[in-house]
Amino acid sequence: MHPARQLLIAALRWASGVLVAGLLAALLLYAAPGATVDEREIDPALGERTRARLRAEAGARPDFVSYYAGFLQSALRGDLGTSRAYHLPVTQLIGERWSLTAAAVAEGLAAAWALGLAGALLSAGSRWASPPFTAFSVLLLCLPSGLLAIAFFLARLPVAGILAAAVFPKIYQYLRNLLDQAARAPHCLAARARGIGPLRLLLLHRAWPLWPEAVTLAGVTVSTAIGAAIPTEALCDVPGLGQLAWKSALARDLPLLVALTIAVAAVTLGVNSVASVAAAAGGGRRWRS
Amino acid sequence: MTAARKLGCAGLGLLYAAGLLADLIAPGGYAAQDRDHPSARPTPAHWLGTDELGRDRLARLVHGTRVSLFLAPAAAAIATALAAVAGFASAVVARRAGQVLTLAFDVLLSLPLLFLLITLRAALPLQVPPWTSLLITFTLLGLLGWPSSARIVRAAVLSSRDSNYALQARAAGLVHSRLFAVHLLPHLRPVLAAQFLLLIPVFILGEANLGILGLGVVEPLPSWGSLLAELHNLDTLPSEPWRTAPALALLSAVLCFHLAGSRHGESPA
Repeated sequence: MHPARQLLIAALRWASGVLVAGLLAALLLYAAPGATVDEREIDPALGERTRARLRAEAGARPDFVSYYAGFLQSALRGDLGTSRAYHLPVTQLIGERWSLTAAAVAEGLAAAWALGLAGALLSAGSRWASPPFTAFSVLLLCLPSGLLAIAFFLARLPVAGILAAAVFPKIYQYLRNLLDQAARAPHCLAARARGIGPLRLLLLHRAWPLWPEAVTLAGVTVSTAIGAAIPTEALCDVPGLGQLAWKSALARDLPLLVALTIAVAAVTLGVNSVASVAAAAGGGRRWRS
Repeated sequence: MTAARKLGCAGLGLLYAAGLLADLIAPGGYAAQDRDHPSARPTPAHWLGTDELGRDRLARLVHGTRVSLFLAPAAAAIATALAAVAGFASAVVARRAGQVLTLAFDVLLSLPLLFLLITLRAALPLQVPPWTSLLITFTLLGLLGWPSSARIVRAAVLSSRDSNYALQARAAGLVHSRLFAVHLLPHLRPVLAAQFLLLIPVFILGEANLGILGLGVVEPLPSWGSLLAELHNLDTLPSEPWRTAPALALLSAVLCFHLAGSRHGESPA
């Protein structure tokens, strides 16, 4: 398929994915228990007439289609609503905090990929390196990210390290499996039969052809790292988007939570779309060559 | 059976036995208070000490083990059933409808499970009775944890549908419904069993994360997640290592599930 066509399809999939996420989010806001109740109704400072007006305002809702259309229009204007807990525009809250989370996720992913790639290559190249890396990755896989956050906090290790620890096992195990499969592939057997050295065989014939799969995995790991950021930021008191999501969940601040969900969906779907296009282009070139 | 698998099965057997025999191991129950000894260190009367309210930590741990180990498979059963239906439907419906369903899987898969969990958990009332919170937590896990499995089921159905035996069955005049019921569904059984086994540790970890964040099972009912929430008090943790017992139990259980299921389907990653 032509790269431009692939890009167009990826962009359409991304847009429709965000629309579906928006639809589900709007449905959640519309149908959540207590959605028609304004918490100011229990404010003793307000009079009966004001409370009746609030009840009337909350009760007079349009049908869901009109509601979703209005929701989309506001979102396209950059208005994602107002936080019920913070009484501030949601875009402002997200704007103030996204850079902290993005930095932590980027650092965590960089560390996880460096360790995962090195571990997979070492394990594939030497039988002695495999047991410690495998044991370490299985141990990390068996711990919830919240517990990792507590352990790292006690050890005074950086926040990005927690995200790296949450992502590393997935990278290591996936790449390790791919490298093992590649070792049994006909082109590797042929290369070995021709007397190519083990290092060259590992790097050029086993590892290098796997880069499209690695790019696809990179897209998936962004989602994993963002997921791990919630307990990490909540427990380590980092004022990023993860902590914001946690606090908004505890306060049942649905407009904020829904906006965060759409933002996360847009980012993760975007990253996955780019990764898929890159992987497809790389895969096509690999098989043509 | 490999040694790792035997070890995993033995470990799970012990943990399930502890959960089943929780009433025998801790006949006082998980909510009984020893008000004379709050925050006590381990003693012969309280092997893992007591919490701030004087409740026996061992009793809470074994009852929490029962909750987590028996309800995570229930949630996994819900998710596997949903995955089977959605994956099967996306593979057998018309091409466009299948693509729409796959897009829905992709959207759900792209969102981190924990994000979805806390969003939907927050959409439901937070101040609920303990048993309701338990039901909500594990039902949400079951309702949200199926998309990855659905994609695998879809791939398995598509692969079986295009296989030689299916082609021969079609050529022999077998109608679609019979082809699916008699030939394709039995081939899905190992795939579904593998997905079920893989989802259990995922849901145990999901419940633990929700509990640590204070959005899981509410007091006084114990689960591994709600017991791990007590680790929030980090300052005293190094001097009271017995408080890490729920973390060790969780780690052992997930490890045992990985070891026991290592022959089924894909690797844990």
